[in-house]
Amino acid sequence: MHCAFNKFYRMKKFVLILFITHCSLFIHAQDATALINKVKAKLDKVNDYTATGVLKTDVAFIKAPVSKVVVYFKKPNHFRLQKNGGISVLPKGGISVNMGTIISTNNFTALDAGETNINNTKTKVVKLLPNDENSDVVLSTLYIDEANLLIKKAVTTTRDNGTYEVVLSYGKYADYALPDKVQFSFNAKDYKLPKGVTLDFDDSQPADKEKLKNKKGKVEIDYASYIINKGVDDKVFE
Amino acid sequence: MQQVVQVTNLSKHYKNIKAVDALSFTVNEGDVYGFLGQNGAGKSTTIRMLLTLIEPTQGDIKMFGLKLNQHRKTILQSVGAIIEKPDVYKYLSAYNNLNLFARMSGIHPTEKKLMQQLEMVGLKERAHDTVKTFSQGMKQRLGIAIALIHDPRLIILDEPTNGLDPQGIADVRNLILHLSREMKKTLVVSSHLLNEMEQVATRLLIIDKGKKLVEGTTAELFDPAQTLLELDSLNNTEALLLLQNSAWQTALQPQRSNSLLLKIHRNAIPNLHVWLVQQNIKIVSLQSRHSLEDYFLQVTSSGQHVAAFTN
Amino acid sequence: MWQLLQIELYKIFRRPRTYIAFVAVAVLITIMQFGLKVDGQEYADFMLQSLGNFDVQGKLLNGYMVCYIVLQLMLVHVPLLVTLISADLISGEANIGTLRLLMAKPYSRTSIVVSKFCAVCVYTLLLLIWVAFLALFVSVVIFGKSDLFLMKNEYIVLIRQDDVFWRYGCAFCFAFVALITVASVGFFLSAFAENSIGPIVTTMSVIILFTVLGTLNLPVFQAISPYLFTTHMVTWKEFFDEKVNANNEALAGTLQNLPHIIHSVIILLIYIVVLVSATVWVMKKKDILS
Repeated sequence: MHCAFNKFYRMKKFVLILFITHCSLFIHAQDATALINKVKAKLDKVNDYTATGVLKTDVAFIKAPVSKVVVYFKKPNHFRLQKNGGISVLPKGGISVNMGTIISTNNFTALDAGETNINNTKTKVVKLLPNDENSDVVLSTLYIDEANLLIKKAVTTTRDNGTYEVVLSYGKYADYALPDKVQFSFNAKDYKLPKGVTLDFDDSQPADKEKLKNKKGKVEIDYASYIINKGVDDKVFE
Repeated sequence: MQQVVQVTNLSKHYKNIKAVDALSFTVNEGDVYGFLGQNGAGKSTTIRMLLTLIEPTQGDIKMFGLKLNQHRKTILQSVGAIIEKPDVYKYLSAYNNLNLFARMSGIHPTEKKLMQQLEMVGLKERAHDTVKTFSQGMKQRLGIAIALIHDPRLIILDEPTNGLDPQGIADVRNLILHLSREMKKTLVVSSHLLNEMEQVATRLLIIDKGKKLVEGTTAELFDPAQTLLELDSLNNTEALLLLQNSAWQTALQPQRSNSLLLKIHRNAIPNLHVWLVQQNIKIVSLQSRHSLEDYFLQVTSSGQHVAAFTN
Repeated sequence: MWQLLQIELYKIFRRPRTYIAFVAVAVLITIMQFGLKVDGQEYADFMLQSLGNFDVQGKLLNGYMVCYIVLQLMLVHVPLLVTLISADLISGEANIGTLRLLMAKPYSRTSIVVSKFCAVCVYTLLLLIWVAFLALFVSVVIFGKSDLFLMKNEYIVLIRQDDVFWRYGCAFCFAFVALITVASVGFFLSAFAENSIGPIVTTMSVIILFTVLGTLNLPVFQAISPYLFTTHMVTWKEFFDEKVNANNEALAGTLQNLPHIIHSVIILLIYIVVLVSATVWVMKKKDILS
């Protein structure tokens, strides 16, 4: 009997803990979702924009010059980077994905993961778990400046494109949640050039072999100006 | 008389072969110098050494009083030549070939001068046709036009009648005489045909195996006193006996066949003929040729050593 | 000398054979351009497939890219076309019998040989200008201009379109030196033969042999590879590689490995000087028996 009671008591305690935990999680999730929705609402103020900026590529196996670019965006997820009639090489899934598109759907679970400082700004850490099992994104971690409703940093793990990190700095376009600077970093090890399909016949040696090892790749856009909500022709996205 | 070509002790050796062996000769101004020898006797090698195409192993060549190896450019400006076949650029016209070689010789002739030159060799009408449509004779004439375009003092013709038909041969012969007599040029003409040379040359040099055999003026070498007469009759033994016991005895030469051989003055042949008839010798044939021709034939046909020619 | 050069050029450019190379180059390049115009996008897409996790935007298949593709293939064939002329220069004249006429003229053998070589240089230069016109200018007209995107074995080079033209200029100058080296080989061999087939075939064989030796990754061949002219003929590609700064930003107007280019040019020039001098020496000593 005593034994049975003990068992019941333990069970009750377990259920209680479970309940509390669940409640707390639910509350946290609710907070996080609310925050995300607020951020989303702010992002939603921008229907479209045309921005000019400078693209810098810091990838050991890509030798690209710093170049002027024009970036076009239109809701919901049209994004295009043009390089004055030139060619641009960007790691997929990163810079071409607007922050808005990450949280554009409600098809995820947002979890509060505490707080941390990013560049002396207190940020809330929110983890986003896609509900869709086939989603390429496995996990996104957003660092949100709660006061200004700005995403300061995003770390995304994907199935195909490895893990990448986007750091955003804001300035005069902070009201529209548009960054002055986007820095996209990824692990260059995940982006290897396959052999054999290259156009070159020679045995060119890499400029600096050391640079190729374990070096993080980085792509950066410094935005100079935005033209917001003045309409963007759909043709630019074709 | 100026010496145009002066060759001293000239030799060309290829490993163990002596193509030209210590050859010396002199060509004077105004000479048509006949350079005779069978194929491979060393004529072409000598001529190519005169034109600096072949480097002599030893010996000296002077032309116009200058050493060839020291004044090559000056000397060759005054030399025109056809070496063996008259090869030219087949894809160019006669006119363009002539113009090109004129420039190579350091002159810039006018169109009129070029056409005159082509007219002289009978190619005016074909001046602008490409050479690949030309016959051998026409090419030869173009070669001569090329050799003469820069008005050289010395003209060297290496086997100029090779491959030509009788008319072509006659044309070349007349041209040589014209160049020598009318234009006062000095010529060195090589050939393996003595009778050709006899008709045009003022001096002759016969070489064999790179060595000089005979040299002299044509008049000296073709002395009529040196005529060889070959006599064939129905009774050669009787004829020989008669001759041995007559004044003709000294003219008798060693027999090479059944025919009897005599060396007599050309003018004495009719008298001998009459005498033989009077002696009742039944003559089948009487053939005369110059002893130089006989000698040359022996040299060029046998290839073996033949006693030196003396006149 | 100038007179002789004029004569040699006159002879070269009055010959129908000379124009075979110009026609062949035009046909080859036109075919390549046509193919790339028709199927080029698929080709570019195929190329980019290997770059799965990169997003390349812009006109990949532009005139500059087409020129690069054309040059890679042409610079294998153009040497053979140059050989056709250079290896025939002396032996061809020996064959048709004009060499003895030429050498009996009041010019030194050295000046005759050098002027022939200079004529080959002029011919090569004109052929290269023709290649440049077709491969670069015509391609730019057909395919337009954009940045030059090159996938090397180990890395990608992106050259800004305003930074490309001078590189082609230099690459063509380098190609000129490389082709003259090939011409020198043919020219040298030409001095020994009395018909042009021998030296032409031999020159081509030398190019093939050297290329194979240079490609084989065997220690014994790798030891001699730096001394083979064929190894250095492909160095023109170095003009299409740039330096980067500490942030891996490519610096426009720079060359990744200028010393390598200079080294290759020096080796090729040594080949040219040695071969042409040897040709002059051989011809000065040679008895003209043809």
